[in-house]
Amino acid sequence: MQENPIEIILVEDNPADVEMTLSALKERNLANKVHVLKDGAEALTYIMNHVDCRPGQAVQDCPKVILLDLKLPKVDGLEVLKRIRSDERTKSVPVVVLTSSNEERDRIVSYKLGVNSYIVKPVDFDDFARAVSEIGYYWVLMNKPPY
Amino acid sequence: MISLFLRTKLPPKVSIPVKITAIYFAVGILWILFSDAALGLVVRDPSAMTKLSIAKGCLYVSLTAFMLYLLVRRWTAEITRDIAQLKQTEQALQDSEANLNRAQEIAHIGSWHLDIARNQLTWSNEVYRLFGRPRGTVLSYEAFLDMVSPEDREHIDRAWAAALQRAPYDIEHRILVGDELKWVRERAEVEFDPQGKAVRADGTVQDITARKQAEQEVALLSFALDKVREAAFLMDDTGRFQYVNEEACRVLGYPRAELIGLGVSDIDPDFPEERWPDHWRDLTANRSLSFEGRHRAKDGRIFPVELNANYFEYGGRAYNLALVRDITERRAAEEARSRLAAIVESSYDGILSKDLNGTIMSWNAGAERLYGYSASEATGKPVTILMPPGQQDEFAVFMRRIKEGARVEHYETKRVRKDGGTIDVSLTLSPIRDHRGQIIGASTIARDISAQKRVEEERRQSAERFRAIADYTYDWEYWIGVDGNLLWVNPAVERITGYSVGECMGMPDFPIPIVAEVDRETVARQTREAVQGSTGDDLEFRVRHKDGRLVWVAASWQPIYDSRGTSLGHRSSIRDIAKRKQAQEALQRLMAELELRVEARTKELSEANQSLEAANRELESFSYSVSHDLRAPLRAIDGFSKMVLKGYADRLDDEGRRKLNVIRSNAQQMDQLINDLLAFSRLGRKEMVQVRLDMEALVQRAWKELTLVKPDQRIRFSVQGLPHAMGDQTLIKEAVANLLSNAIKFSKFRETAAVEVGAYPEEERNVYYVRDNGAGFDMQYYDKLFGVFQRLHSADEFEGTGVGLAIVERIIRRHGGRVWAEGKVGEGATFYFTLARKE
Repeated sequence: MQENPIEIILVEDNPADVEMTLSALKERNLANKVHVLKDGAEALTYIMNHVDCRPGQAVQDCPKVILLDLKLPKVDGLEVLKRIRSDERTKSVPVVVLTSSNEERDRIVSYKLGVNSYIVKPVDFDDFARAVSEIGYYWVLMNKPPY
Repeated sequence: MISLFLRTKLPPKVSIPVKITAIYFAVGILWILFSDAALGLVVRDPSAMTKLSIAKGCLYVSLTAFMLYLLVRRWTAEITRDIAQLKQTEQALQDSEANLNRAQEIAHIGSWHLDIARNQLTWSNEVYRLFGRPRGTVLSYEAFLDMVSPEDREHIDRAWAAALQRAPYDIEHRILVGDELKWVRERAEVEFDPQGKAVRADGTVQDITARKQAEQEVALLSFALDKVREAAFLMDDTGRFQYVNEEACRVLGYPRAELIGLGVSDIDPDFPEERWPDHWRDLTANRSLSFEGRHRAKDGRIFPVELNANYFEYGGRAYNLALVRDITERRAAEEARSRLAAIVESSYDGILSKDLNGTIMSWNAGAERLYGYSASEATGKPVTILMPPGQQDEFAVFMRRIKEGARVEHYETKRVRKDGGTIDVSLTLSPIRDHRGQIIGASTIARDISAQKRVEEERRQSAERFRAIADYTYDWEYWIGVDGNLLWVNPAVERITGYSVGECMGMPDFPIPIVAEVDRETVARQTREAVQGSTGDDLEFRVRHKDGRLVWVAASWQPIYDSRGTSLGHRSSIRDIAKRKQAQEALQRLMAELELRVEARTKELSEANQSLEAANRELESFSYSVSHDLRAPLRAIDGFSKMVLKGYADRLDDEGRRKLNVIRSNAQQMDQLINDLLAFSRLGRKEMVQVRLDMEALVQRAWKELTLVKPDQRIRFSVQGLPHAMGDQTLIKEAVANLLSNAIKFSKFRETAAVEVGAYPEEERNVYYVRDNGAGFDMQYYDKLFGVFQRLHSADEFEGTGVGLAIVERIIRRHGGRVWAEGKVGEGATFYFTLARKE
């Protein structure tokens, strides 16, 4: 993993979803730049210890995007988002919520906390694969972060 | 010293020889006592002393002899002079005594002398003659008293005793001379010695028998005249009063002395002096005249008199004795009598009199009016003609009382008139007495009380009616006078308070003692205000029943005035409001209970609310889980099927690919079911905001959104004049979109599909409808039409989850509206819903 700089942090507890996501990203050759975290607690531990994306600082493990599921064991996705946005080192990292929930409440809270994009996972795999592929393309290849 | 003796004035009563002897004796003693002492002062020698004593004795004798000579000479001269004087006096005395006796004889005045010490009484000749006693009778004070008329003796004794105490002695008394009584006047002067002791008295006696007799005669006459009831005037021929009696003085108000000297013209205003000669001639001719006139008293008051003039001659002169009687009272009595007669005659009441036999004696105009008989018709008739046949015995009863001297007052009975009519009368009978006080008949005053009787009867009935009403009034009524005292209370008081009417009437400060202690101040204030004329209603207070329990009552009160507006006090009406109070209390209890129940219910409701909220929260977390957790496996099923199809394409035959595709399609179907179910459950929770909706614009927008997704179908769409309605923008749009999408879906096999949206008003609401010419449905299954997950078509024919119409139904019902449908298989369906036109 050290050889390949991490471009995407995927926070996802469901292994099927992880596999389908990685499968979709593989088509864009982004699968080997993904670091997967299995729950909210693990995600926070990792992000707070390894990620420092302050502009003008030595760039260290700074991902192009964090793909965040909302329904997570231990600490839920909204809490993780909130901690990311309230830490100086991580607040400017793009975060895309990738969730099964189409609840209005979740959308509103996510945007309030400063999410960069909110994507409902389509059940249809074709739609899902297209959505993940386009997210990877857009945030990793097209988007330019401030750091 | 001798001259001193000589000049000593001895009291004249001491005899001269005694004086001389006393002087001689005194000089001798003084000589003996002082001569030797005086000699001793000059001579000390005892022999010389003896010689000188003889010489002294000789000197003494010479001196005293000389003195004696002087004294005897003086005494002798006095005696000689006295004797000469005495002889002269005796002669004069004899002369004067003879003169006195002669004078006494003429004047019938005797004199007497009393030597008090010796009780020797000496009379002059005249006194002997007066007393009819012979000269030489031995006289003393007691002998004198014996001659006095016995009834005067005490009187004389008292006067004499007073005279001895220096009072003047001047008395008149009677003496007995044989059988004859004589009147004498006695006067005396008493002489006293220097010690104040009466020594002698000299007095006179005068015979006044003739004068006394004359005086007595005049006194008797005057007494007689003074006692006469008439005023007596004795006048001479000039009309001057010579004598007037007491009555004349009293009547005219003059003192007697003043009246004598006045004349007729001074007291008779109708008799000027110039009329007197005519009158005198008249009187002389007639000797006696009687007439009425007027007199004027001293104070100017003029009063009527009756005069009787009597002419007579006495001592050669002519006199008139006029006897005058004041007839003011008689005139007044006459006037009173005529006034009374006038009153009787003009009285409206019938006044008649009858004798003891019942014979009518007098009859006034009132009686004529009352009974119809004239005075001439009635007089002399028996009074029983007025009595109705059954009441004749009334007469006997009346007469018995009258004969006892009693009156019959206001006796109400019936009487018969001359015309036979009966009238009600009130009779008052009084006895009539003659001048001796004997009852000789009765007077009757009869008053017609027929009208009064009617009024009384009406009043009695009215009072009875009032009493009946008042007594049977269920409320407790009372009337308090202006003085604050209870005038009347009805029997209902006993029902409410237990106190009888009698107890209340005797109760001071009624009704305060009956009022419960806590309310007494309230009621006392009400009573005070009522006395001042206030009116009030529904004052509630408690009464202490006689048996001790409290009774709730309510009072209303008004002042009472008579027809002239004078206050008669106030009345109060007290209602027993125990039932009302019970009802109030029951009501209050109910209210309290209700409040408790409301509170309990509120609590229950809030608890229910809380559990509902909890349920809602649970439901929310359920749908949240559904949207996350149910979808993830579906996605995995679909995703992994696809990955197999893709990654293992060369190793799968057609049948394997087909089956994997079935798995995928079922997974997607389930995702749709979950989405619809979530949407449906969100409907119940979503808050509604009712606004005025432009329904036509809303329908057009929904249609555009739907046809944008599936533009390939050719549909004729028409919307016609939809009216505005009230509703939530989002929800109504969702309902409309569901109906439109159904219409599109079920028309997809038509060559030319037609969807029509219209509306019509129905009461307060508008009815909107969406009509298509699609597959329609069988009305037989109508009751399944709006159920969740209920479908009337197979999924092969028409895709769908069976939630759409359930959502429509739920949205419209939340708006208070109604949804229904009509359809026929193969011909199309129409869905109707209603919305409120106004808020």
